[in-house]
Parts: sequence; C-alpha cells; structure tokens
Amino acid sequence: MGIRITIDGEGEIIIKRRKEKGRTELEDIKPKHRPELTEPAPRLEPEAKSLIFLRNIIDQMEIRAESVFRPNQEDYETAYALSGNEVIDMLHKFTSREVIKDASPMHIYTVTENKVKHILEERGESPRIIIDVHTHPYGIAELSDEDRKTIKKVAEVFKEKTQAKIYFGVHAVSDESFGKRREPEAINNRIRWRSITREHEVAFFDENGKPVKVKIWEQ
Amino acid sequence: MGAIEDLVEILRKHESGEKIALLLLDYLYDEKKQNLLIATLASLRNEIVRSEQVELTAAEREAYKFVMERGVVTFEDLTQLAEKFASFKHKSHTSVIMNSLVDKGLVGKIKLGKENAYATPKEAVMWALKMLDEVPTKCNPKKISELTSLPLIKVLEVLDELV
Repeated sequence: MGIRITIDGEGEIIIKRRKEKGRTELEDIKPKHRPELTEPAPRLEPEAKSLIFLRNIIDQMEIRAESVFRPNQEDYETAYALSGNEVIDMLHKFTSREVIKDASPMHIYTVTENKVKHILEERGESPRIIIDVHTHPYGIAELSDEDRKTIKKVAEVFKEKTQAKIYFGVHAVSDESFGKRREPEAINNRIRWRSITREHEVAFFDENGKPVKVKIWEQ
Repeated sequence: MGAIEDLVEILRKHESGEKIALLLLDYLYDEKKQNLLIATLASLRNEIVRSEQVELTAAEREAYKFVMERGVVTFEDLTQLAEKFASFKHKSHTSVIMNSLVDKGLVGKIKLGKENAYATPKEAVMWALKMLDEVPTKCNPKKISELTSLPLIKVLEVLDELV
C-alpha cells in the first residue's frame, strides 16, 4: 500500500502518500500515477503554458465540490486551492470560518491571507504553483465580472507571502441528475467530466484573466 | 527477537509511534477495553483473511460484472439480469445476492436520493467522502467503512488510489 496513516496533535487521521528517500517530486509519485512516457517526464518551466494535473487530484476536486451539497437545501458556492511544483498534486480544503467568511448560492467571501497560511502549513513550504478555485453551482465555468475585478488583488496577496505563480479556477457544477460517470478530459483551459450525480467543468485562468491550457497526467 | 520486541521496534520507527503506543496502553490498562481491543483485532484479522479468499456464485459473478460496468446500480437496474437469473426478479432475493457481494468487499452500499444502490468500491468511497464532507487526505476510514458497508481493508485500498 502506498499510503501512510498518521495521527496529528488533535487526534485527526492524516493519510499521506509514502515518500521514498532521496527522490525528486516526480519520482515520488507511485508508478501507477505516472504516464507511460516515451519522452522525459513533463517539467513545468516558468514560461510553460500548461498546468499539469495528477489524475487523482480531479477525483479530489469532485469530492470537494460535491461535499457542500445537501439534500433539500440550496447548493452553495465553496472554495478550495490546488498546489504543486512540477505537477498539481495537492488539494487544500478550506472549511474554517477563518478562511470562508460567508457563502451563498451566488457568492463566496474568503480571506486570502488565511488561505496562504493554510496552504503553507499543509505543504510545509511554498509550492511553485497555487490555483485558487471557487465553485459556481448551476453556473458556467467562466470568471464573473466580480471575479475579474478581484483576481489581480488576490494574486498580489498570494505573491507577497509565497514564491508561487498564481492561477485561478472556476469549477462549475450542474444540479443533481443520476447518470453514468464520464472520465475527465482536458480541452484547452478546461477539464470536463461527469460524476454519478453531476456534470463538472473547471476552467483555469492566469492572474490577468487569460485562459491557461491544462493537461491531465493519467494514472 | 520476540514479537513484543518487534512491536516496540516498529512503534519506535513509526511517525505516530508514541500516539499509537498511548492508544494501545489506554486499551490495555483497562480490562473491559482490553477485551474490546482483542475482539476488534481478531475480527480485523478474519476480515483480512476473508478478503483474500473470495469465491462467487454464478449470479454473484453476473451482478458484480454489472456493477463494474455501470459504476452504480439500483434494484430496478438489477432486474435486467432476471433473464439469466430468475432471482433478480425479486427484490428480496436480489438483496441477498448483493449483500453477499458487499460482505465480500466487492461492492459498496450508497444512497441515490432516497433510493438504496450498490456501487464499485471507488464510487462508494467517493460518495461517503462527499456525505461526510471529508477529503481523502483527512478522513476517517472507519466511518467510511460503516457508511458504505465496505470492509476497512477495501476502504484503505481505495484511499490509496485517491490520495
């Protein structure tokens, strides 16, 4: 088994992928998570145009986005972050009042400084890439006018406190209808898939609101 | 080296060794808790042995294949198998077959709205994480096991895939 279960100070169960000593981040990823590459593993240079996602991170994005939905209640917006160095390999769940101040079906108010603190605590160091994601229940995967006004300011706060390049994601989730799962596909700046209950589409942008291409690193 | 020395050595090397030792001591100091710990460990051992020796009837094999193809199935979906196996005409018989697959750790139980359904272990664990508002890296595998009726060992296997 490639996971290690530990108990933190609060008695909470933490599940981590085992790391092998003396190996780099890409080599740490279990063979089943690595693509069968005939060329060297992808390396995201500063000028690179694509964000590369580990396949299992997309499962985690689905779990996070659908977790906030409850039967007979309106679907609320939520926020989470993704991070990584060469590939996006970690999802950061924000639930505390310190990060999410208020949420409704149409908006969410978060505190960027506390998001940064949470990400740095979970990673132990500044990652090279951070993606700030919020959901649009029943909506479309596009930055709203309000989003476009705020992303530059939000990126500045992230950059003040980390060495990471900052991106933004808008995760649109449909209403509930049962159906067969469709595997994720990356098209330009979007990842689309279907869970057994909802359609998902996530679009990614840079801090200027320009689309950023994405790729999925299949297991 | 004896088993006790081996255990001490493993606890010393484990990241959470001190906390695991405290948990064990908490159970071992108290006679009632000691029995609970021993019964749980014995049951866990049986669960692991069972998961390694799975045999299926023809109807179970067909139902298992059906769940693997679809991801999630309801009792209504399963009536489609009635042409091959008459048991699937009756909800009570279907339930016996499906619960046997659940006991063997091959499928999990979930709820689709108000309806009960059976799902692949991955779909069942993902459903449970959504219900519990947890993420694969910070979750309680025991709670997931209780919610989906999947054996703990199967839950850990799926979490290995999701983390």
